Amino acid sequence: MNRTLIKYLILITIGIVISAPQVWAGNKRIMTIRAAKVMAERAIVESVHGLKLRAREEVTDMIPTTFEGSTESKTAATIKGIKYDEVTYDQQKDIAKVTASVQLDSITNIDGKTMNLGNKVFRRVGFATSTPSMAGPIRALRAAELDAYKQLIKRIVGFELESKTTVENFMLKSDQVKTKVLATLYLAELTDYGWDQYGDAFVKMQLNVKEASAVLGEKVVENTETIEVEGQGAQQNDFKSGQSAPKQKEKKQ
Amino acid sequence: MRVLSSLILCLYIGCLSPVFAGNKKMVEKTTKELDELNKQIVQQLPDLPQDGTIDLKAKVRREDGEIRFDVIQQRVTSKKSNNIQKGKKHQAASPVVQEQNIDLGKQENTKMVEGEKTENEPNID
Repeated sequence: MNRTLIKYLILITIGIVISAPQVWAGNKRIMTIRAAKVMAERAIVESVHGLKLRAREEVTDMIPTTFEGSTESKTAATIKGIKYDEVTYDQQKDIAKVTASVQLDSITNIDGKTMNLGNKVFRRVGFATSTPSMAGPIRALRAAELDAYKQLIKRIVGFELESKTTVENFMLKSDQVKTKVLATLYLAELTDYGWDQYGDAFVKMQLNVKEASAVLGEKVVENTETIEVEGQGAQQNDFKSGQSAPKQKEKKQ
Repeated sequence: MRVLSSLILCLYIGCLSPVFAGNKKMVEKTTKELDELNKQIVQQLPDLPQDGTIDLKAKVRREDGEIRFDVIQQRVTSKKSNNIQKGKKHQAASPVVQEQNIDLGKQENTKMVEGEKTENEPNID
């Protein structure tokens, strides 16, 4: 009798343990998925409507510890018809991935120009987490995304360089080099993304020059058909204890 | 045995990855690129002194693997003669189709070569 009772008790305990996570489930999953949807929506807006980006880099005496870099982005638009093609949630890591797409006939871009998109489908992906300890890879991915935008702008629009150089017996020595970027960018497409074995993120983006020229109704520089760039982003700042630290900031919309 | 060694390898990589993760490589690469870019532009400037300093401000763009630049402001100081040469606008190639407005600020103690331009810090707001 006692043995049967013990058996029942063990079974009940196992049942409680198995069902417990569902009983305790809160709004974390919903919040994380919602946040990933917002990230995907922002990425769509950045691709279709465009974004304004300002970046600075500065280095003195070519010593990496003196390097200072910052990138700021801003965008805002109302877009109807965004669809969520794929929603994935990793319960263990509390990370959500959302793939969103939009198909539009035309849109007014960040510069106020109306672009005829010809019902082209724009697809972007967004990641999010509600657990701060899991945010590292997602932050690195966003940093890589901003780096890719910056590189595209540098290729298309160019950038301003300011420097102080010393010449000694015809030998050049860069004392200080600064670069500034301030421009708007639209129609950038994400082609690949991921993380390397060390956890650093990469984002590959491209701008179809031919297509962009047709959409804008004006020539976009470069003779090549597409401009491809690869942005990089790190999870950790190796120069934290040094004199300065590279920054990747972002203005809230 | 194979499974065990794979597990050990995964754990090893998993434990070591955060040690290597960081922006050091990226910063070093960017620093080197900035140095090379600056030297590449400065070397193309006319009237380089044997000993001296060059203050430069230029609009740069890469096109088909080549660097094209427009010098906005140039100031060459030669140590020997102690001469200051303010350069004229120098164009390395005919670039720029899509121009963006970059506000150029007032430079204290420096005369602008290309006319007077008022400068404000670019505002993203």
